[in-house]
Amino acid sequence: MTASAPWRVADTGILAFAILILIYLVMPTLVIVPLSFSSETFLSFPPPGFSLRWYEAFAESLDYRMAILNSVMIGLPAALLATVFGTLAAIALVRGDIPGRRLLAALMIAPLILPQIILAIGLFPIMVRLGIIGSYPGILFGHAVVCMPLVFITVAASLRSYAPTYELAAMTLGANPWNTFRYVTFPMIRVGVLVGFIFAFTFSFDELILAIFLTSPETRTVPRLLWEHLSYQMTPVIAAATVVLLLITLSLLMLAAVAGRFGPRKAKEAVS
Amino acid sequence: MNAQLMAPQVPMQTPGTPARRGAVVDFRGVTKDYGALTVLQPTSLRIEAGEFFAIIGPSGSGKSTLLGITAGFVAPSGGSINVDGVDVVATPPYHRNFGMVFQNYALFPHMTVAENIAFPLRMRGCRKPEMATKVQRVLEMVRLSGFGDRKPAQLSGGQQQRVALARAAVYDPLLLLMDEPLGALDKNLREEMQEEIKRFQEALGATVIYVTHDQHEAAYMADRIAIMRGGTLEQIGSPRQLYEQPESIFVASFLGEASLLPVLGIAGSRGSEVSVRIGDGLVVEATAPQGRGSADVVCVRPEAVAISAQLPRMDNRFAAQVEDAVYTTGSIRYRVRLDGSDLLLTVRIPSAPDIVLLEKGQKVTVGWSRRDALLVAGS
Repeated sequence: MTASAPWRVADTGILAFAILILIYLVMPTLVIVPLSFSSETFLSFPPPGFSLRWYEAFAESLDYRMAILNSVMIGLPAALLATVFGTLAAIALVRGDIPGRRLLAALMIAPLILPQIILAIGLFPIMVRLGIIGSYPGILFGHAVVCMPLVFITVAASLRSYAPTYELAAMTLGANPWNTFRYVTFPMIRVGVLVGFIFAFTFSFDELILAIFLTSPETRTVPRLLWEHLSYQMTPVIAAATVVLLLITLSLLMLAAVAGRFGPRKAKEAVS
Repeated sequence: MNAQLMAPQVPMQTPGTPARRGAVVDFRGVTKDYGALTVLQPTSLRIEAGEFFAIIGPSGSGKSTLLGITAGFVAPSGGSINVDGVDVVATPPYHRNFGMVFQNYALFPHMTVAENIAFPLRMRGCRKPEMATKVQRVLEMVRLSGFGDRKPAQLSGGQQQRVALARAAVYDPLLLLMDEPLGALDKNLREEMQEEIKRFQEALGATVIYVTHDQHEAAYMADRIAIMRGGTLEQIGSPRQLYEQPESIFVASFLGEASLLPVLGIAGSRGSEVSVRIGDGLVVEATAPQGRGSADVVCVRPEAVAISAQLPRMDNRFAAQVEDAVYTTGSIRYRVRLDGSDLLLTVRIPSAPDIVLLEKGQKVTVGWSRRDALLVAGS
């Protein structure tokens, strides 16, 4: 196809603009990478020299080790809870015959859309009352709530990608509701559940606001530790920690992308 | 409507004949409404053991609702369904033990063909060796031996439908429900599968309830057809009964083609022989079906009409003019306008190499016999 000259100019312009936007989206995130290799003892850009000392400091820091362990110990059960309940909610609202399901589906997404500070302020007095403020269950339940919408969205999308006749067929073939879920529904939404779980864990791993309100020095997570360090010591160890966090998050998201690619191919609708 | 009146004579099961005759399905006043909207009026219908029973009708006629209620997906608002004398309305779908075939096959994409077919056996706690034997046997029945290890996506549409059939039949259900099973296939394959399903049903000895919107398919396959419309059973009968003795304009026009000439008045009658006026100076010699009072139209099937410049003596003869002529495979279809009226008549005659196509505007004579002019009542 031969385009006229004005169109070619416009095409080039649009392409350049798209590239600029990509740079704008990614660059600020990547600025942290050279900072972490700085030889200087304070955060400065561009870094004056190259060294790995801040990674060494990060690796040796007991605080960071504790924080990473906390993040995992909170993130895994929170993601698991979110996955179980998010999946159940998606099945009920997509497949079920529940009055007001649109409203309920909107409510399910709410914790993700509402500012987390609102949830944090709301949860704080409740958890104080329950006596679980600063404990693992406290932050774990808080994270499970904000992670549930992520699982709900991915699993609901999986469920909507195929007709409910598969489940009806399973029932006529003699499968009770549990066996229908186990042998038909779950294998067909498995990828959505897995991706939802990864999103949930990633979200919990990076979450700051609830962590500020609901964790104590014993249960503080990596983002909270970074935030605390930022307020009184601006050393590049923060940059090194952030890069590690970034790498973990990115690899988890890539895992999710790969999982999605290997999802079950949709049953070929009869054409031949 | 009382369906029992139309039930055909099914031979009684005498001792010594094979035990498998399929289930008797008896719908009694089955109804379904969603609030103020009634999608299925109280419906009573008895389907005999081993019968191939088709339900046809336009979309929204209630045919899918009736099938959904039978399968157990939809709870009826009233009535009962007795299968071999036992009411199944309260039984969940997974305990009804019916086979069901869906339009999109609904083969589980994550299981192989053999796993798909073994699924209902697995749900019934069948032992492994017995399972393998049964799967093998039913695969042979649908001529797919050797395909057991494939995934459904690797099969053609026709093959997938045969797997679906095998899966729905491997546990020997006495009742098979089919929801537009051939709707997704192209015409040639559909005709092939029609024979396949018939053969399969005979081998299995099951009762079949077959929902389709394709009247040809229903007429070819079914022992009896129920035509549904607006949530009610319009008429039940053998394909021939429905075609030759439609009881309503809807049935006459839904099944096959028909010219429906509005009746303006009765010119005279003697028993079932009625002369009706359909226009100025146009009187048709028609037949009134027994026990039917009102007559709103005269129904004439296109193939019952003779057309030519000269016609031998017939009960009905009219001068007409050709409005259009269409050649279709194997036959020629004319639309003619009866002289002195706006009435259009459809004529279909078998085509042959020596037949010269009549031209538009040509003066012709059309004629048909009294027994082919059936009086049909309203709507």
